[in-house]
Amino acid sequence: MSFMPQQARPGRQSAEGGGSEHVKMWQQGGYMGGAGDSGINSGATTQAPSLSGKEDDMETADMLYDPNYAGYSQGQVDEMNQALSQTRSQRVRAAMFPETLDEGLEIPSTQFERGQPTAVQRLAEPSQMLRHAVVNLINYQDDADLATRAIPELIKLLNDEDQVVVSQAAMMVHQLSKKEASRHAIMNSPQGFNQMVAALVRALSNSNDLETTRVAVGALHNLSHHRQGLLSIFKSGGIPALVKLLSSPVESVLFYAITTLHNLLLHQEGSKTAVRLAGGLQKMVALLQRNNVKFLAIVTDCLQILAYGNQESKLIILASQGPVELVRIMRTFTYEKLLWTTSRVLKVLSVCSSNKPAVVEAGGVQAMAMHLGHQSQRLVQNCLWTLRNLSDAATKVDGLEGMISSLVQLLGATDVNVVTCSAGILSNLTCNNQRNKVVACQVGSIDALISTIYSARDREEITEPTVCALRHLTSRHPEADMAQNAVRLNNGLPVICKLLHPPSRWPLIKAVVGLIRNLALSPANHGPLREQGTIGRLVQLLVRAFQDTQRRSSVASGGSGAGYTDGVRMEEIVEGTVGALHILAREAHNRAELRSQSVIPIFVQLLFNEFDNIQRVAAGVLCELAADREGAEMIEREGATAPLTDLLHSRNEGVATYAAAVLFRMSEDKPQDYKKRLSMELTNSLIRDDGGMWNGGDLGMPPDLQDMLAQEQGYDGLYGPGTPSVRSGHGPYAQGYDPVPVASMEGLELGSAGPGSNYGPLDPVGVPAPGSGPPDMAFDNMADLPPQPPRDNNQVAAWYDTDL
Amino acid sequence: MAFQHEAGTAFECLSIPIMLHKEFVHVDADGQEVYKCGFKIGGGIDLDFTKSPQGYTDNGIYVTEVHPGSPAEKAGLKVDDKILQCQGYDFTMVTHKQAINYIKKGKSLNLLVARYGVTHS
Repeated sequence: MSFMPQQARPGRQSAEGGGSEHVKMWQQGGYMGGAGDSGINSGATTQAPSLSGKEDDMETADMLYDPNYAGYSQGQVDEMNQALSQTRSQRVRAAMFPETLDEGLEIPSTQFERGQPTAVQRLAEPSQMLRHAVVNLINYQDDADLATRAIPELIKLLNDEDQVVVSQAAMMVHQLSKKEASRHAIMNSPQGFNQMVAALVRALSNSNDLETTRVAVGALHNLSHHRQGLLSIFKSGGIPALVKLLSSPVESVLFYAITTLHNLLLHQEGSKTAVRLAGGLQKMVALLQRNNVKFLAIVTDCLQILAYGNQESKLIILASQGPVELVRIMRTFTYEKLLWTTSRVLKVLSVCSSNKPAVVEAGGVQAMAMHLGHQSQRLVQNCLWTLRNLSDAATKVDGLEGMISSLVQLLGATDVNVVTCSAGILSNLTCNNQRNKVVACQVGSIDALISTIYSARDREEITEPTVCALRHLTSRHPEADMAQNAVRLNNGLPVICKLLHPPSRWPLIKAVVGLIRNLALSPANHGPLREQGTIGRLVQLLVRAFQDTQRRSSVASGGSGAGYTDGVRMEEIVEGTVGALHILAREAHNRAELRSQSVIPIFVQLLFNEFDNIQRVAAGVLCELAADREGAEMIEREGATAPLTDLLHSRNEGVATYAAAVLFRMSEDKPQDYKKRLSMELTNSLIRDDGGMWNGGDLGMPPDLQDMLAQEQGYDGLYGPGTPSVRSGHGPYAQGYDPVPVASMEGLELGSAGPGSNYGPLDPVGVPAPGSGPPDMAFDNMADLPPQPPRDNNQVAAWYDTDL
Repeated sequence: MAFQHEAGTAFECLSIPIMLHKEFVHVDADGQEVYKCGFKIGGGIDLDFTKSPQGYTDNGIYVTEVHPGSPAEKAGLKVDDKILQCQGYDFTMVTHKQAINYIKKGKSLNLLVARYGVTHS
């Protein structure tokens, strides 16, 4: 690296012709500045042409031609030029290396006008930057060299017995690790690096001295920004040492330790297991009690990395009171990144069935609901996923009115995921929860849900939870009939009925059938539903499902073939469609259409079905159809009498009661003694020995089997989009529907002159004298109050067991 | 506590892990393999425990019978065991039908049970 001879520089022309003189001056001027000749070629020797004096020459020339300028003689001008040239190097040096100027030296300025800086002045800043870059480059190499030479020494010192020595060595390493060049040198040193890191880790573990600990962990932190550093720290057993430091009372140590661990967890394979084994989870959860938001953001991100997909970690977090702390964070802070990372941890915990109740109990639902209106999309989405997972455990939570409101608003969002989640959460919250149902109706969810169905078109991931939510809202709460009518008034019927047709798949169809059944509870909907061709389509679906079950059971060697199509059993479709037709058949025109569909044979066939549910709905629809003479005749022609008589003895009271009702209606125009025999038969079969089943006074109040087997099930809480991991609250899609409420049973009051019914009361039957029969049987009632069809009740059925 | 648990509330208790390997019975008409566990379960959140003949005190899933020589007996399951978890699913808040569904899946079951007098006194 020799100094480039100035003379060899080409193209340097000086108008003054004193080129070599200038060069000499530069050399003499000690141009390389205060650092002395470091033997390195400096960029300072390459100059822009104007620095070499041309500009000055031009200015000098201007000066010459400036008419205002008092005339100087050529000699004087020459003198001035000389002076300027001599001080040129000083000016340049002043511009580039201001710190090297001698004190008190006056350099004549060549600036003539205020606003016009000279070339030197203009180039001052760029050349300063250039100079700094060069200095860095020099130092880089210096640093690297220094580090390379020093490492073996440092390693030895770090392993020294004397703590003070170790401390000093650690400080030195820390300093070295701060600068990039030396850091790289450390890492590239062939034998040194791993030993260095091992030595640091050892220093950490053994040191009692705070300063040593601090610098050692600081050094490790700096090294952890590179892959080699991470690997080395991991292999040297750095993780247990770092985890131990998480209990440190000193903030800087703590911050270094957690950040290093975070880097390891993010980028180093195997770190997760190591942290878990070292008991890192418990310590991190304990750290959640702090209040520094950036610190908490790192801790929560670590927890998320550790807990994702690892059941044991989730349980440890639970045992360390993690949910309580996490919910506290969601409630207290507003720093978006922290809220986002915390929501991710809660999301991960919310699929764990043990954590879920704890999160709900800690107020997690309300805490997440607080942020549904946040600007940050990622935060809102995570809150929604978490809420969806939690929502099936949240049926007893109070004070969700605000959240339900927010969710209804979110139904109008443009993002598909947001809409899907909101609908799913609403569906779960309204499942079997009266208060939520009422609140939801009051905040206009019916309207919003119907709009959602319209805009969703055939995207079933959206329509299915939406339909389930509507189904919940249309039954079993004080405002159900308002809801049923609201659907019609909001123009919901056409789009809902359209969903019965392709391309809808079975799960959606099942949900829609349940909804239609609920909608049919409102008499005002009977006509409109019929006009949509619902009855015909329901019959089609019934026939198809029925044939499917027939085919399967005829091939199987006995026992119910549990054939699922798209996760739905055809028996469920049969039950659903017949149930819906049952309610629709309350209206006379509907009954007429139903009769014309030649579906009565299927209903009669279903009386032989093995499932109580299906028997019940079949008997129910036949009961309605038997209200008309033609219907009754058609039913009898299909040979329903025999199976119905059998069903009188069914263990299921609903089935027995409906069967009795059908038989009774069918017997209208039979001879008198037939009626008598029938009455006796009915009476006998309706008396039970086991006593506990019937309430005194009225014969109704059989538990609804439908209720028993098909309590409203919430919509599946999925982990997140497209992540097929553990499902929270794994439940099949919402099943069935609600039993018929008391009020609407009045139309079935047999013996009274109902619309279109032409029966008179039954003649008094030869019943035993009051008091001789079972006390809970009011026989006088038999005369004018033939068997009541089942009423609504929420009693659960008797207890039973199943062989597996 | 574990035997008087209100479904849906969080609780902690000791439990016995049981690994049950089902017995292959035959291949049914659909080509599906049929397996047998050899025990009966009763209960569920949709049933009324006050009507149980065994006198159970909550809505959990209980083992009401263990067939002799069956996989259940070999695995150590006993009558009146309360199943807390099956395959990781929480069995303290399931309907009867759901419980059956979970148990029927798979060829072996990971169960956690509570047993009066053993895990609780």
